[in-house]
Amino acid sequence: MPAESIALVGHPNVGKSVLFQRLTGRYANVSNYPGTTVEITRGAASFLPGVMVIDTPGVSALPAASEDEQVTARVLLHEPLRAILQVGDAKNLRRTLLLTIQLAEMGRPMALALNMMDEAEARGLRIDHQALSARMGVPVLPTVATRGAGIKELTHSLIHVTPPHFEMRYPEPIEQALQELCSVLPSSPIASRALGLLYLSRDPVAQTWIEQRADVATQSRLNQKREELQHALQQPIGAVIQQARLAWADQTVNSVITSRAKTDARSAIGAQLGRLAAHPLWGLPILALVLYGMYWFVGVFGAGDLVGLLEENLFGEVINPWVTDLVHRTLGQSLISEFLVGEYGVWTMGMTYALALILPIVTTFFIAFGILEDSGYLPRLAALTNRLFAVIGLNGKAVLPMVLGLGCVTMATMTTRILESKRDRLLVTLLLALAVPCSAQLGVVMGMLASVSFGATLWWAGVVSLVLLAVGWLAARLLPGERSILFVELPPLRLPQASNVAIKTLARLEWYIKEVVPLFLIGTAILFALDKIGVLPWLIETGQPVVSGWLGLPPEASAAFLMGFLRRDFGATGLFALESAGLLSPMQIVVGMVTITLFVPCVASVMMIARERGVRTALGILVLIFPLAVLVGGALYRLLSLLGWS
Amino acid sequence: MNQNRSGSRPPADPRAQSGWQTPAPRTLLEVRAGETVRIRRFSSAPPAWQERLLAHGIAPGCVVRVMQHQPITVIQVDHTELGFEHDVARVIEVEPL
Repeated sequence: MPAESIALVGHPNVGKSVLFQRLTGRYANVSNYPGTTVEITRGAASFLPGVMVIDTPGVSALPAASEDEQVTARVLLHEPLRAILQVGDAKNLRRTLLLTIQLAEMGRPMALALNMMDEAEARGLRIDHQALSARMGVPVLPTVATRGAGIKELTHSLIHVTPPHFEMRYPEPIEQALQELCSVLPSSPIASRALGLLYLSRDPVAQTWIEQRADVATQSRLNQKREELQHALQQPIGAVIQQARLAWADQTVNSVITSRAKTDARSAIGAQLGRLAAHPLWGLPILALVLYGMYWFVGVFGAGDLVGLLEENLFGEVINPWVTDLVHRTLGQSLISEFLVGEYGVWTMGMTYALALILPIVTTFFIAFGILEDSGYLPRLAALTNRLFAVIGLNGKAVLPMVLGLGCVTMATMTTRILESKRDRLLVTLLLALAVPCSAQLGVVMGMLASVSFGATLWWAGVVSLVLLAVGWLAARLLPGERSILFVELPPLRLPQASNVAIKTLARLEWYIKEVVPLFLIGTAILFALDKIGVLPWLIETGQPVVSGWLGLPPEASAAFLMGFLRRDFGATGLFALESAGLLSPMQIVVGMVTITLFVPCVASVMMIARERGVRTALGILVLIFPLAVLVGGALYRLLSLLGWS
Repeated sequence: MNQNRSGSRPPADPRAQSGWQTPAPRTLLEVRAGETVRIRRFSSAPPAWQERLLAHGIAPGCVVRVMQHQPITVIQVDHTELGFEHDVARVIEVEPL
């Protein structure tokens, strides 16, 4: 059982993660994109021995609307909490208090850190925090986490924190229902009044919590009460409850704010730029520039230059020959040495892949992503591309993983975490695996198509885009659940701090080495086993009739397709070798390139899909993509033949 | 919050869906960029949207400034800018200050 914890709870972009760092001395994910901190970060409190601090994903309010918010709700309901520390944005006091009310109602010891006090003051806001503390019944501490101001007072307050003295009344029908609910609800770590309010507003986490603890009779009684109440009210119960809270928050704000801002003259440049970046016209060149910059840094510099340097020069010419030699000298030509440094060797393939090929890509990617996150640009990117993604049942937030897929599909699959619903994540993962070529593959594909004609490139791009749109359109209608509407906060554009981006990149690289590199090693070991028991050669042979009969390609292409599964670019490279040998006609090149682009992604991305979406989903995606790629390739072969290609 | 623009009624918006001229915008979508209005109600919105709006502090009676409508509607509440699709803006009823 974990030690007693202090949970940091607050809206997105209020500096929770920076404050977390101040309280623990350990790093957590700092970001501008609402809801990036998907995973919870824990760290030992530096001011209280034996107590952990938990950094939770940002919440707007409960009931939890997204999966991120549900995680926070779960922490509040399930964790053995010593205290709740709400981190609030001082300049958005009204919104902050809306959450304070909810947390205070839970009855657990809590404190409110009014963070970004400097920004509030810059806007001319003066907040009487003592009056606020008296009204809310919780200690209120002004802080500026980025500069460390107010932290000492905050930790002192956290050591001596006590349950809040807070009570506000709701409209009478709700109060009556609450009274009846409280008498039947199972006892919980939070006040039963708060649990009852969560239940009434249909919070999914509270609902599940109750279902697991109350008998069927109690559950149906609770449900009946809720339906009766809903019947008596004009609006959804949740809305009535929130409006009562907002009214309370409004009154409070009016009584504790002693001076108000007139205009935001100070952040004029940031605001101007922010407006331009989300402008329907001016936003587009900025968008193109950002995407191109990102593609260049990750796709060209990372996946091209750095990979070339590390993989071909360092690993290919120096490290691997040395390791292979060493293994052979000590172990001889045995199965073990083949396992380590053979064709599918854990070192020569797995480790080389993880360190020389993927590491440079993820490093550049993490740096670029960190800069984008901290700049506040991501929500604007989502706003600009929203309409495009609406066609395939997604919202603009899907743009980031899709564009990153052009760099590295494996990493892009990981970024699907920023999407709100399971449905969206699954949809984007599928489209990435199917129709988005990674930079390694793109290079070979473009090179080969260019050697045929510009028309060939157009055919390839057209067919792949068509498949992307068609599958996206279809999958969006077949997958259960509704398209999630775009609803984003647009934080001011800020210049990212280099130190923050660096710390974040290092922490993510640590995660990559610990969590992802083992995936490559396991994947390689599986391939090694398949090769040894003869499955791989069998696959190449079985595939030949399909490859030559249906796709109209030379039988040698079968091996290239299998290699394409190991590494997408290998597949294309395999076909490239065939072309160089003069074995492929222009039509065969187009068919081959389309098929290989649609083909399953590399083994690393399959491992990543399995890790992020589960093994069953990964298998399902494979089973869908294999036949689909071959089907489209074969159809294209016949269509092009009809059009007189050869 | 207290930018007072009493009396100055924003002109009718061409996007107004009814056939006849309306003296004042009735939904947030009809409010021109740069104008400030008071939220009247959004009770016809799906409960999930209502809760989302309320969670961001947008409630009946609250004063918001419309920043833009393209590509999505962006409004300013207190010191926060929120963006959402036109479908959301369409169900938020407003009144002039």
